[in-house]
Amino acid sequence: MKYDWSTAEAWGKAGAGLLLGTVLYIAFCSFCATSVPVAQDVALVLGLLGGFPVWVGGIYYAVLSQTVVRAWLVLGAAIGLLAGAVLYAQFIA
Amino acid sequence: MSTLPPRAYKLSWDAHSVTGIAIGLALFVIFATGALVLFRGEIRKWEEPKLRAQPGERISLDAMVHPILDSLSQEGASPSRLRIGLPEGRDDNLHVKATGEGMNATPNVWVNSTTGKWVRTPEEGAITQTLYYLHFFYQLGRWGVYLAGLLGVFGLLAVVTGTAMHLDRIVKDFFQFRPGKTLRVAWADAHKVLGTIGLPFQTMYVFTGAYLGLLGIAALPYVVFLFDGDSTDYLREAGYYAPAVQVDSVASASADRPSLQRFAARAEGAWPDFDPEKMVVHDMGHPNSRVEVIGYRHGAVFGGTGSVIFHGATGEELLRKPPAEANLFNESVQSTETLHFARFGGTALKILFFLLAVASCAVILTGNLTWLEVRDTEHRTVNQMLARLTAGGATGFLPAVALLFLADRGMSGGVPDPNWWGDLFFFGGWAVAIVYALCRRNVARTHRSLLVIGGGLAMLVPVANGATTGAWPWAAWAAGQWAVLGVDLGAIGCGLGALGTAALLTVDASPNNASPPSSASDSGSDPAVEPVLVSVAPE
Repeated sequence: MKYDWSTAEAWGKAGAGLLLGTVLYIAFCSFCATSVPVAQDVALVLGLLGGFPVWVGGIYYAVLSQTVVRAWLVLGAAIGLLAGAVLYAQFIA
Repeated sequence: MSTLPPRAYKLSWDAHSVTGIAIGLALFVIFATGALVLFRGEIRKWEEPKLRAQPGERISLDAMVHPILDSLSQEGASPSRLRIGLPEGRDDNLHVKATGEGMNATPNVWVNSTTGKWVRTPEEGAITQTLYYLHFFYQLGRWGVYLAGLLGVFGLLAVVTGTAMHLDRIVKDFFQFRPGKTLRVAWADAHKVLGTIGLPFQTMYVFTGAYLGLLGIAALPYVVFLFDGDSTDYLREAGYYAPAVQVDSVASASADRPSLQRFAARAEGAWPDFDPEKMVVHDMGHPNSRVEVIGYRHGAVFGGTGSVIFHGATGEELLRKPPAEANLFNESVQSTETLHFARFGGTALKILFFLLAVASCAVILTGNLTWLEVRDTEHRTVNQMLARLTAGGATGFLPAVALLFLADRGMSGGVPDPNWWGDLFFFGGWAVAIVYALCRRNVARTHRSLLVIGGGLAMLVPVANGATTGAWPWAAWAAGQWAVLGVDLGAIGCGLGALGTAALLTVDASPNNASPPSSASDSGSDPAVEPVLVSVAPE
């Protein structure tokens, strides 16, 4: 290993990357399906094919983030925003 | 130095190497089997002599399909769903899958398009199915498919982190291979050179593989939010099925089966560049039967499917949707599949993809070997086990595959359940190779032994084929059985490659690498481990 990982950092970032990265992907797909103001086929392409870079980006962000807390907070906030937009589109708008 | 800040570079390096170590061997299996199943049509002909090319014209679609339906149906029943994969060239085989009440269960049927002879898998085939299923771990069921998709996602992570680290020196890395330097440098150079050459290929395959593997899960939000939970509508939108149409029942359906050949010919003439690829017959023999013919624009890499729908009983054309009018989703999904399955470019492209897939396997292995070489002085048990597992799992894959081909030829005399026996030889042989590698301390010698065994067995593949079917390479050449000849020559090529690599391997016990007993004891490693230096001789 080139970086000096502490145990908490390794588990915290791996957890954020794997767990929140995956939830971010699902939230992004749901967001594209419900809230993006484009035609249905464009929304499908955006979510289905664009979702993988978002997923990998989420994992990579968790690895690179300055602290474990920041990784969880930023990814969690992104998920919250996307999930909020989905809920708004489904139940309020 | 990389353009990445030092901290980001270190973190990326760790993410890249940990991902590679965690998924490397599984990804190796996916790429290795993928390289082989690029030629699954050819391998199927090799393993099924009934499907090999014969002189003569292609017979009609009805002459191919109706005898199968007669054989499969109980008391003259017709299938509620008949799916036909249409042959492209004269030598291509037809694929049939029939389901419904009154039909004998059949997974897949392959038909020789010149003789009409047909075989059923898995009852009568082993190699293609075993390798194809292993490509996405379908031996584990749908969870295996999801696992393969997840490996694609993490493969994408490995590609992204690796590229991010080397982006600023990608041209330099492309030209830098120093086999005369230390082993660590040689493996790292090989990893970077092959990784740079294959970067677009690997990126495309991990991405499309992730999509195909996770399609069942990834589609869920769309099915729920956009299609009211109906996955069939989702698949229609993606171009796998023709659009939904209203099919009015006629007063009475003819007792005769409809002419599938006529439907195929009419669909083919719908547009000048239309290549029908599959035909789906719903409720055959019923008053509301419909026939869907789905295909692509001829030779197009990027593009969606078009379809023509007929009334199955009256023959009336109900709907016509050209490929040029496919929506963006249809085009994206179908282009993804076209790229992944190499449905363009012909045999030359498949050979290129085969070589790139082999190079991708080498990228994975050299990455593994670089990791191990860096930690060579640590003598940790986990590293030694990884080194041995790499030898058994990766190099041991070659003799296992060769054994699968040989076992198939050895069972050509009507052995009951050859698929089971094929799996036994393949997975059993592979397991023996892994156990052998785990038990043997000298990893380099393990690699060499397995290469020699695998190479020797691969050289026997054409012999086994010639001895059991009479299709020796020169006979296959004379008969124009290019698929059979190609598989035989491919086996010889792989065999020679393996034997050549084994001959080039320098397996040397270097006293410099010996760890002192106290050091070995302190680190908790195997004190009796043999010091090994393995390299490809630069001379």
